[in-house]
Amino acid sequence: MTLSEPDLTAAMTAALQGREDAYALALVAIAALVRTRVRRRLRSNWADVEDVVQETLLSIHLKRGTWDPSRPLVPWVHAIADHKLIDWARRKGRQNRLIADGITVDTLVDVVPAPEEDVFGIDLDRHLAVLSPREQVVVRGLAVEGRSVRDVAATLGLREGAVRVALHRGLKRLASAARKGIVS
Amino acid sequence: MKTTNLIAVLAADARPTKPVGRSLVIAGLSGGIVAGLLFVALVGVRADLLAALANPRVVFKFLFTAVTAMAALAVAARVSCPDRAGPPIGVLLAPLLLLGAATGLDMAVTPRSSWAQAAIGISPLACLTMIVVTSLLPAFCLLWAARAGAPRHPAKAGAAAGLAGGAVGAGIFSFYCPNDSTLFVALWYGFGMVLTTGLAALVGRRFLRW
Repeated sequence: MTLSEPDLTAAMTAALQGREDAYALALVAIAALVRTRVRRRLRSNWADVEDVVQETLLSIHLKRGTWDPSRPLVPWVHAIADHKLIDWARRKGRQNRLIADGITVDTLVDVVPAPEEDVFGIDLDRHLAVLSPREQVVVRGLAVEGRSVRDVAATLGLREGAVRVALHRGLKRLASAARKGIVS
Repeated sequence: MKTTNLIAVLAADARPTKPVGRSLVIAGLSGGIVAGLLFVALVGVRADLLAALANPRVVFKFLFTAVTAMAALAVAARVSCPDRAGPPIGVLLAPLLLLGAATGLDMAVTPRSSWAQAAIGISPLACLTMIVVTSLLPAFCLLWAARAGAPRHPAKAGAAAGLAGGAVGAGIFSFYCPNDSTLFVALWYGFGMVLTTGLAALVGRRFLRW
């Protein structure tokens, strides 16, 4: 964890008030917490772990109103991570049963652990296609190109508020697609 | 997407966030107000409403539905949090005890020979239907607000939202319903709320999954 627990709690409390910088700090520390939790429970390759980590972060973001700042943050983070991990394992189990009959070299390649330095989180990318064109531009602009909301707004000729709305809708849609295991 | 990029995206979506419990209260209140206005406009209120408010049995209907709605909201807010253990069933004892005590009292002062008539009242099935229909809008608003939650058991979160919506609907219906016997309330209002609860549990099981 990059922040001490009291600092993390303070950062997350500020994040709930809309502070972007505090939220980014809190999310980095939370990602580390989640990664440790998932790695301990999931014996799989790095890409799978990071997949669950990313789905958990997305849920933490969308469900952050369920954390009560007067309650400890870490058990809440773990509860969400565990929920997403179970969800993920169920989905994988279903998929694995589906392909078990016709395993080919191509399917096995996916199971071979990737070298750590190459690992991107992964699956969320496959779901980007469920977003509307505007949402895709916004999410890619912020995530892949590392631009700011203002910058993206200027490129699209939109107000910042409209970009934020598109971002929020896009994240909700992404979470739902990831949960349903939609592969486009 | 790299995790650091995802974090940047999520941070860009920072905004003041309401606790899920507060969203639920707002949803229950606003859904209740709109449903109440619609009800008064479409169905009306009982002709003797003002005089009836002096009748403790009528006051009890409002009291009971209000207490049930508050208890159910407390449960809904709590089961929406993933770090909370099971629902605080104790809270639901308050409306149940209240109903039990009032029904006992009413039966004690009512001659045994009129119990059956008090229990059946006037057109109980119409009352039942009206309660469920009046509850639909508040229950829908509450289920919608509950989507911000992260319940361990989506069906339970749905049920709690449905019970709150059913209590709000029954409270609105009390402005109209001429059946004042507490025995009637216990049977038919109770049945109406149970139906709404069950319906919302079924909806919640899918709709509140996350």
